Amino acid sequence: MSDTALIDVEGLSIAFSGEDNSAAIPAAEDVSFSIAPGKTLGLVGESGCGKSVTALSLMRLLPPNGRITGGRIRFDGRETLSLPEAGAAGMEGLRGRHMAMIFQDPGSALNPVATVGDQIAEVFEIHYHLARDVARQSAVKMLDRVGIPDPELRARSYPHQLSGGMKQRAMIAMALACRPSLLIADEPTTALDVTVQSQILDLVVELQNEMDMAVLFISHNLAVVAQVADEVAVMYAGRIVERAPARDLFAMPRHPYTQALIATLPRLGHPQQRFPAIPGTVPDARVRGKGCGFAERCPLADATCHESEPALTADAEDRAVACFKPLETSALS
Amino acid sequence: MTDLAASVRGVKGMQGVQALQVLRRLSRHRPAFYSLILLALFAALALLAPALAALTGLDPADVDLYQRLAPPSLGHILGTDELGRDVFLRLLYGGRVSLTVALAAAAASAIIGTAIGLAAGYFGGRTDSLLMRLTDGVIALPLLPLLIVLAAVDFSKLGLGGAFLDSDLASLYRIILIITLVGWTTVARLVRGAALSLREREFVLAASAQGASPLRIIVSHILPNAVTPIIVATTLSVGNIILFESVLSFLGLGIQPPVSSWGNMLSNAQELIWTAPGLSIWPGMAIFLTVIAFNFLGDGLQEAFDPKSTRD
Repeated sequence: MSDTALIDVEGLSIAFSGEDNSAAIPAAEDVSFSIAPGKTLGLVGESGCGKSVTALSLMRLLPPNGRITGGRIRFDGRETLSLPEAGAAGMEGLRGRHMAMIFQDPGSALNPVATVGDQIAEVFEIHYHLARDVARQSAVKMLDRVGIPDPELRARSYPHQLSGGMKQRAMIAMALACRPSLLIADEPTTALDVTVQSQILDLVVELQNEMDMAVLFISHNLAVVAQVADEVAVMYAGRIVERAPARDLFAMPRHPYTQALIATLPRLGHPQQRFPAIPGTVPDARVRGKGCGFAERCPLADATCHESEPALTADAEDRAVACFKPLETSALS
Repeated sequence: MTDLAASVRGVKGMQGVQALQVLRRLSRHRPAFYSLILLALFAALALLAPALAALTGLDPADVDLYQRLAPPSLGHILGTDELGRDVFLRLLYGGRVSLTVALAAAAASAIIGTAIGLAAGYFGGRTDSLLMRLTDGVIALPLLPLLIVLAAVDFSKLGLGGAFLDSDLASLYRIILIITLVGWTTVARLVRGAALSLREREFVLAASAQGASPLRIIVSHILPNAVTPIIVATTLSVGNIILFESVLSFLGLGIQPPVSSWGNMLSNAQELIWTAPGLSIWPGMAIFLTVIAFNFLGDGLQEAFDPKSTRD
């Protein structure tokens, strides 16, 4: 898209092969987005809509039965899909150094039998070939930077000796050790308490500003995304159905799914008997027919919606929606 | 290969700091601690056997038919066997052989089994199928006929003759080699299982996301998490190997008399069990204590290597 983008994903499609190697099941189709340095793209959607798979494919870390079936990814001027896997010039040299990732559950994303300091030091060893004691000192500095008290002691702790919030801070220290230009945050706060959650979000934003990082922030939590993202892409059943600047998206959603998602947010001061839910379930990717993926659950769907799939089309400056009957928003000009 | 060196250095560095902690924890595990002392004592006695022999002026190979089956006395503290040889000295010399065979074969099996298991479990797919079929093949081999054939190989006819192969040590190395060749399968299968489940863990994905190469992931993330099954299998195998060596010696394929091993002392004592029970009790006790000590040690090591252990 834009020439200034750090990462530019175009028409990315990902499929998983079934157990009997029969038909490949699409997990993401025709996904396109780009992120500029220092900006945050929020990727929102229900469980299983293809968010994490999209993130993993940026790192080229799909599980063995997953395959990128189409599209291209340009990262910092390089076509990552055609890079070799090994070596400093390949994906291994990019991962951890230029693009890094933090995970949902820091408890399982840290090696239980290695100290936190050693795990961070390993990143310095891999990319900067530092000697172990030097790498260790850098790791302690990094732990200090992410706000872990008494970093010397904590560097010698095992993951199970740290609280969830501290583990996530350690994970962030590990991911940002080499000051990457892209950070992929896959539901980084989902496993944490709400109070710790906002501390972690603040930390990510602070480090992002300091390092001028692009961030791909994945979450199913709209409130969290609203807090950090500049632009939001809503995914549904493997496709991006709406993309808009964060403020505009929340103010005036155009896709019925986005609107439904926003409606499910609980609000303070509005006591409710039941939380609103979107009726129905996400269609099974294996038996998915033609038509819009959301048609079955959409209050506005008509025959066209069941017949053919709407493409993601720009409908205003800097926003796009994939819907035949986008919601009218008078504020749009 | 520099990558391998770097990975290995990394693990060494990591364990250098932790080694002290592991030792400290081990010393707090009572049974393991006493087992370690017992094994150290056995090892020291075995190492000092020639010195003790020189000191007492006895030779374990000295036959004295006038002193057959003598009871314990000051001259022969555990008595003599059916050929009048000193049982205590033979026990010590036997310990040299049995402990060497057990440790060397167990360690070699563990190393080979771990390498094969890690490769099969981590890489999966075709590598896994290939290596596991190889393992199944080795397990399915009829052991005794194979060992008889292997033991019968005449190295000099293969053009490998030499002072070394003709020495007494040759049968020792041969038996270590034979036991290793068939013994690695248990560890390989256990480690493969561990690696299969570990590679699906999120910290392995996280390590890849940091740019770690497959080799580094295997050496510094999968292996340290698979230590428990390796230790358990290896310490258990020490006992089996000592017994296995005695079977081989009994069949005339292992350590050949007059060189003693706990195994062949035990089998020789079979016919005399009613006349001279001591002859089977002493080597039997030695085997029993060693096997049990190794098992306790395995328990202790397993706990010492677990960072979640509360003994700190």
